Parts: sequence; C-alpha cells; structure tokens
Amino acid sequence: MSDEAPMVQQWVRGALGGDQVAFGQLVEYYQRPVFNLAYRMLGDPTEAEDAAQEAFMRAYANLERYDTERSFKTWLLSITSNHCIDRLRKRRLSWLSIDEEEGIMPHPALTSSEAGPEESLLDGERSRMMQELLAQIPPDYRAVVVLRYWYDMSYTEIAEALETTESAIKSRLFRARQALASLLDPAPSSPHARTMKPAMEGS
Amino acid sequence: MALSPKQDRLNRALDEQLSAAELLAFQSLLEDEPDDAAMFERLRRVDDLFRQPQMVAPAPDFAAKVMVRIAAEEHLAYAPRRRPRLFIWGLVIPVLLVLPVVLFLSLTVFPALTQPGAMTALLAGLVRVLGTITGAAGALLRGLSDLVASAPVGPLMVLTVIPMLMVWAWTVWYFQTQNRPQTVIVPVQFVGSGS
Repeated sequence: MSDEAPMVQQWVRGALGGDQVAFGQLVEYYQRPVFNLAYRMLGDPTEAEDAAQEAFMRAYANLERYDTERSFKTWLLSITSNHCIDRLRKRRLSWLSIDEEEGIMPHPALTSSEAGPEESLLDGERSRMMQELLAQIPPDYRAVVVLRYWYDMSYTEIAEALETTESAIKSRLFRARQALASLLDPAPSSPHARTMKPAMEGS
Repeated sequence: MALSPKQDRLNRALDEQLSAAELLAFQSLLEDEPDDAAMFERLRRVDDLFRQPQMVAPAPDFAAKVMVRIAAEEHLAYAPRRRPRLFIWGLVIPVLLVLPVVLFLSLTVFPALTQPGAMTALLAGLVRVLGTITGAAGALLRGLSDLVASAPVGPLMVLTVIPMLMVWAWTVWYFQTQNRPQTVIVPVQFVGSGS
C-alpha cells in the first residue's frame, strides 16, 4: 500500500471490495483537491464541477486498475487532469482571448481558505490574475503548473500523474513559466522575450 | 524538447533544488550575465505569484451528487465486469442439470446397449417410430389438400388473417413499450458534509 493515511488506505480497500460507502468517504475526502484541479484547469466552476464528478465516476468504474502501491490521490488527480486536458482540447477551436476571458470571476460558491476581509480581497485579486494567466497557456502546461504549485508535487509525481517522463515535465514547467512570465510582463527589455513566444504555441 | 543546461539550472533554482556549490556558481553567473539575471527575475515573479495558491472548494452537496450519479450509473459501469460471471454461471447451471441425466443413462441404458440383440431391437423401434411419424404427416397433408380443394376460403383466411393479427399485436406492443416511462430506482446515500 502507498504511504497515505491509514483511514484512506482502509477506504481504498473497502472501495476495491465493492463497498460504495467506502468510496463515498474517498469522494468526501478528496473532493476539494479534485474540484480545485478541475477549476484551475477549466476556469469555469460549472464545468469544473461536472469534470470533477466525471473524474470520480471514472475512478469508480476503473477501481480495478488502481495499483495500491501508488498514491490514491496521485491516481485520482491523474484521472482529473487527463479528463480536463481532453475537455480543453475539445474546446480548443473556441479558444478565448485574454480580453474575452476578463469576465471570468471566481464563482460566489467557491470558498477559499480562511482569511480576513482584506486578505480575502487581495487573495481574490491574486487568484483571479492567476486564473487569467493559466487560461492563456496550453492545457499540458497548465496541468504541470497546477500540480506543481497547488499540490506541491515533485517532478516524479507529476510525471506519474500525467503519464510522461520527468524530463518532459521539467521542460513543460520551464516553458510554462516562460509563457506566464511573458504574459505577466508583455514588453520586457530583455532579448529573452523573443524566445518566449514559441513556448506559448507548443503543447 | 529537452532543456538546455542553463534552462535546467534556472528551473532548479526556482524550485530551490540547487546545491550550495551550484547556487554560488549560479549567483556569479547572474552577476556576469545581465540577460540571464533579467530572465531569472521574470521567472521568479511568476514563481512568487503562484506560491501558496488558494484551493477552491466545491459546493457542499458535491459528494452527495457524485454518489447519486454512481448509484444511478453503477449498472453501466460494472456491466462489462459482470458479463463474464454471468457467462460462467450460464455454463455451470446447464452442466449441473444435465449431469444427473447423463449419469442415469450411463448406468442404465448404455450397458444394455452392449448386450447382443439390443442394438437391433433399438433400431427396429426407431424405424417403427419414424414410420408412424411419416404416416401421420402424410395423412395431415392429404387432409389439408382436401380442405383446400373443398373450401379454399378457410386456409386463405388462416394464411392472411393470422399473420396480420400477429403484426398488429406486435406493433401495439412495440409502441406501448416505447412510450412507457422508465422507472429507475436510485438508492440515495447520504454522505456527511464537505471536508
């Protein structure tokens, strides 16, 4: 078994044995990270909820494929990120520009971590800015950035979740950072700015 | 595409993965190369922005909704897994039913067949049965032939009205089943509030 909390391991064992209540406990426990990942990837709370539900459904339907030596959370996030990447690819044709996406605001139903009103305001603004930046980078880069910053995953864990190599993850993360830097500061004095545009195009 | 050594060093510096010696070398590189220093600064700004981001939570009834969907669609999700099990039972049950008959036959009838004259008697019996069946079939055909010759309306009615009635009954049954509302029993499971 993976090094997850004993109660998680117990629920996983129960779910693998066909116990729906145990799977319900896993949904309860992991709903926040799964929904957060879907929201960060898709940028729309309604679509994120649907994608997160779908991710749990897929996890349930494919429980037999889960390797108990791996982290259940990583497996679940892997399903979620792959599902969100698929959704983003499907809507690629109707990709919105930054001006059009300015209307995207965090949904009122979305609750953030405990903070005072001023902190909430600043955090809300920061969160909105991050979301806008994320919306403009390719889905593959977005997944790496979210898994790295929101979940503090190592390169190895991200590679496992996205079913690719560690070297590919390092490359994607660097190019994602480059792309985000050029979006954050569109007219840098540095000649490096010229090398950033290609990073936005590839995925 | 793999990263160049310089890009890899920038990445690792942002992720605080450089050793003390590598960090010193990196700092002196930044002092010597203003472009690299500017680049690192720009990447560091991104890193600062994305450090300790907020997690958003789903609606309070999210987990309950997932469980309702799972309960409603479970038969679909598990259908492929149940099929082999049903197939195996489909083989086992007929074998269990047929086995006593085979055992009975092997203990009673088959030994008798090995006795002299038993096979001849059996074949003679079979010929008699076949003769009776063909005789009955011939009589039936002759009767039908007489019926068609004497009253052709009867067989005509049988050959047209009965199929028409069958088609009508099938059509009525088909449309009734198509329009019938599907009853799906969804066992709702209440799971506690969100974590």
